[in-house]
Amino acid sequence: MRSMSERMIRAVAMLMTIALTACLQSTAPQAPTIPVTGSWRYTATQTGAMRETLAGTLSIGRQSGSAFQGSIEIVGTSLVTGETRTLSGTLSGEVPSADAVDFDASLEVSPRRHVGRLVADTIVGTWVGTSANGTISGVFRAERLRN
Amino acid sequence: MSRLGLVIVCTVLFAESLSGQTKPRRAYPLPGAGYPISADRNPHAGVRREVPERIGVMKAVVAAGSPRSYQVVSIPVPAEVPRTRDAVVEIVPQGAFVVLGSRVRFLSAMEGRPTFTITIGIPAAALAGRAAAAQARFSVAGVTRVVVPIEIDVIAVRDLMVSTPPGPLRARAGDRVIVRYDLMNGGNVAEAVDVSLVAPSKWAGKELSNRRMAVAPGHTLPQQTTIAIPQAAGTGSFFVRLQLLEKGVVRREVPVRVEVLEALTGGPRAGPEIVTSVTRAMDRTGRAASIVAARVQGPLFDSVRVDARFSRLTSGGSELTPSLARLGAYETTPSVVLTAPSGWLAVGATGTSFSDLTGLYMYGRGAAFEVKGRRWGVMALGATSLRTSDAAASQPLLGVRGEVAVGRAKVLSSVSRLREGGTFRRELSAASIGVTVPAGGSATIHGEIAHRQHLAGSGTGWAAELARDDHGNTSLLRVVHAPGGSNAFARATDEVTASVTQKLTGRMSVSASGWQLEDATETFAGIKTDGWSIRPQYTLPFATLALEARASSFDAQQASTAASGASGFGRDERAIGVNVNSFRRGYYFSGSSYVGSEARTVSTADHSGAQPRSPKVTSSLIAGYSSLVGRIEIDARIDQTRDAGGFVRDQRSAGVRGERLIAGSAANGPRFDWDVRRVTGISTRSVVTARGGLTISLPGAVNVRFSVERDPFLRGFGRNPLVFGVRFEQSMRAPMLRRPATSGYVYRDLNGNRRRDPSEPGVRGVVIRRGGENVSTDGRGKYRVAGDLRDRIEVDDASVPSGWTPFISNSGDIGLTATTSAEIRFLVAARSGIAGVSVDLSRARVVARDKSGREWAARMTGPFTATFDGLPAGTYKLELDFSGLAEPLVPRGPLPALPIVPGEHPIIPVTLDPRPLRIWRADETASSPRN
Repeated sequence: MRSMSERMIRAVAMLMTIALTACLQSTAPQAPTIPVTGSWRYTATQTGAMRETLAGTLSIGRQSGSAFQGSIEIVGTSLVTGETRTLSGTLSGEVPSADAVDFDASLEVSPRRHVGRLVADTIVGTWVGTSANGTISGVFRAERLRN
Repeated sequence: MSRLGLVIVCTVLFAESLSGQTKPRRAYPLPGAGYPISADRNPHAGVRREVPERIGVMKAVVAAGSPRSYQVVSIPVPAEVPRTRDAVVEIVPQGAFVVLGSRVRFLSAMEGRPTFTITIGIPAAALAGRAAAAQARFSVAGVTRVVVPIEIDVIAVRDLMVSTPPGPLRARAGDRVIVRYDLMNGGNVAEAVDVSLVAPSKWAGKELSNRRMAVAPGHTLPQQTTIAIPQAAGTGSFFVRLQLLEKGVVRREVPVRVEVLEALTGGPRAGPEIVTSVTRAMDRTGRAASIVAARVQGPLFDSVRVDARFSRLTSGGSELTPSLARLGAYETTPSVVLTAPSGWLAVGATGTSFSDLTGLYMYGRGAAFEVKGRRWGVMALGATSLRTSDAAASQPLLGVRGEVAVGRAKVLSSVSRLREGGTFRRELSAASIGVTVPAGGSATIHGEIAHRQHLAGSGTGWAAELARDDHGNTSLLRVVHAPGGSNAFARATDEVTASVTQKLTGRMSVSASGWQLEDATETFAGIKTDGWSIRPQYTLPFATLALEARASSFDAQQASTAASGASGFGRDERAIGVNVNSFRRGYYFSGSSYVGSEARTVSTADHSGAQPRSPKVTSSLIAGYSSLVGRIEIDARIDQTRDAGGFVRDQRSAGVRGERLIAGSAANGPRFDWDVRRVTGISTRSVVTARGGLTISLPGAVNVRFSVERDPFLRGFGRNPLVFGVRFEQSMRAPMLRRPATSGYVYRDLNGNRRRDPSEPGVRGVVIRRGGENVSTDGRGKYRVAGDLRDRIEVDDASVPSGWTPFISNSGDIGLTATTSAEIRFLVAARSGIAGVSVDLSRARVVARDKSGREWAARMTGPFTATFDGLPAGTYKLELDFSGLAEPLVPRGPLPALPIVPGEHPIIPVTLDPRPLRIWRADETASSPRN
């Protein structure tokens, strides 16, 4: 009885692990539409009530089909307090259409959703982030850095 | 020689006796006697010899003695006095000398009488040296024949004293203090001494060196000298030694205590810290960026603090800005902010908020201030918006906000005119009025209404808020409607926010919040967001365990002018997780793990729709150890998301870092920093970032920090990742201009109204104390005393002029009221039929009550007299309490008022009548009433 129970527990655990792993594994990547890997000079403005200017670098290091991942490091200067802060984190996104870019920048607790249009080597768009205190949003611009 | 003299005298006497004539008197200097003694030689004695004619003056008899003593002097009877005849000797004292006993003695012829003795008292003031003390005049048959002078060698007594006024001298640093002293010669010898003052180091004075002074016996020589106390002198007691020197030897020394008090302007104290720095970062290709910065921060004067910043990017571009930021260098707009308990003032880059309806988070260049009173407050902003690259010109940012307490309510109003130019314009002209009222318990209700004119039109805005804060149990409900939204300096167009934190037990609490916002910005024609969270929390002695469930969503619709290519996008997230925080003995741990899902929506020109909800896992932890020698910390984070649309993420990062790790045991030794991090999921292979730093402290409060970092994020992966940095920082502490203190005036309250009137003069030299601080008032009566402002100030009664009583008002002014004694004299009326009644008033209680109701008690200073020793000026109401008396008494008629006028001593008669009822003690005879 005991070995039977143990086997059942192990089987259930294995199935759950497989299921969870399957959920977290990547689906088959789509064919790459537009390559976005590389470094981008990122500038943004946080509009709305709490205004802030943001400037830094997007580094997209991996692209598989339409999905891509990378990092972001920016310096934010508050237009309310004058304080400057450094924000860094990872980003993950996709290229849903021929000229669109959609990615999350994990700079704080909740990611900032960026949606923009890619024209040549420039992405221009808007972003929205949420927090317990409400919503922050703004516009951004990313220009590919040529080395 | 003496024999020759004797022969001459005898010859003269014999001739006189034969002739019976009287010749002019003549003094005969006797050989060997040293006569005559000139009165000038000893003026104190005041003796001028009077030698009658034909009188022989014999050799003086000399004795020695000290002043204030008696000497027994043996006087031989001169041979010129015939021994065969009876003789008389009269002792005549000279000057201040006295002779004890009978001054006239009979010398019988039958006695051998070779000598006789007298006792001479030497006066206390007798000067040193020989002085004529008396004469012994021998007479035979009524004729004086011979005089024997009696002289005293007064022994020298030296008693030179120096005295100073009682009590210490009080002065402030930087003052010149006058040291007064008296030289008193209590001896009988003229004195000549050198006077010298020995003062603490760096104290200066013209007369500190030796001064030659001569003092006659019995004389007092008042003197004074001035000493300058240096500005840098500390407060406390110092001693100046007054020395009397004779031939370089200190004969007498008197210490004089000088209390150096806190100066009115305050001494130097630790003020703001001034930090200047130069920071430079460069990569291996030679690109570099530099920032010079200065910051002044700390207490400036009184309770005012300063925070001033300046920094400027002197070279290079923005690529190295993150590296400069990690070295602590940022480019900021210059600003100066002064803060005090009563308000603040900001100049330069400044900003503020008025209200939800009249402007939030305005920021520009100019000035802003806020001043708060006990029941009012004013805040104002006058600035121009910052010029951005797309803004043609700066725009005005103007506004003022005021509030005033009306009863328990607070009424506030604000007016603003705010504009920002450029692509993302904002504009608002608004005026509002609101009120905040207590709603019972610890709750308040706030309401505000405003007219708002914005870019798209105008409208009426309103806001309501219910807040409660009851010992950590808080709740908030806020509803705001602000037409124009964040384009018109509001948080949103419509906002509903609710939050509550409630303690359930001593260890358990729960927090919950929810919000919903709707807004329109330059970018989004409409953006809606809502969310909620609930978080029960359990607190252990060293840890906090919390569960959290949360959800949030947003839906943003692009404005037509947006160029993002998308017409809208949104997200919906839900998560549940656990959070653990712990701290114990320097060790800390914070970990959280959330599982949930998210759904994303996006609409573009050729792509739209909602994507299926995807699972999401986020875990993070931070653990470390912190102590005085630095901190070591590890952290890790995992983000996993599966997006059916191809938005895949599986990113992990882990790092370890140390901060301010001191090498060696010296507290100011070199300090190391490092940060090594490995990130996967952002590139085709894992990425490692590494940073290291070394900070060295040099003399002169100079710190130099070197750093090197390998940051692939900076310039793309794998190319020129090394960045070097160096920062020179020098800090210094400026003196505080003036310390926090209480100030006021000490004045004579001549009219007793307890207010300082213009005509009432200040009082100099009154010492005010608080804790260890003490100051004295200046010539205008002004004082300023530092110390712990929570402590009450006290007046040193010894420094208050006699006859005046201080009282301290809340304003800090201290009034001195002249106190006057007053007497109440009781007259106990005789009662017919009861004779011999004596009344004991010793247990009577006599009280004067002033206008403020305070009682001033009198003491019985006589059988029928009550005395108030010190009453300030004013009019008092007399009250009598005779309940302690055995004899019942009642005042005849109403009691008179007691007016107290400075300088007068009123005597108020009060007639008392015995009551018909009388009380006898049981153990006394019936006929003897109790006295």
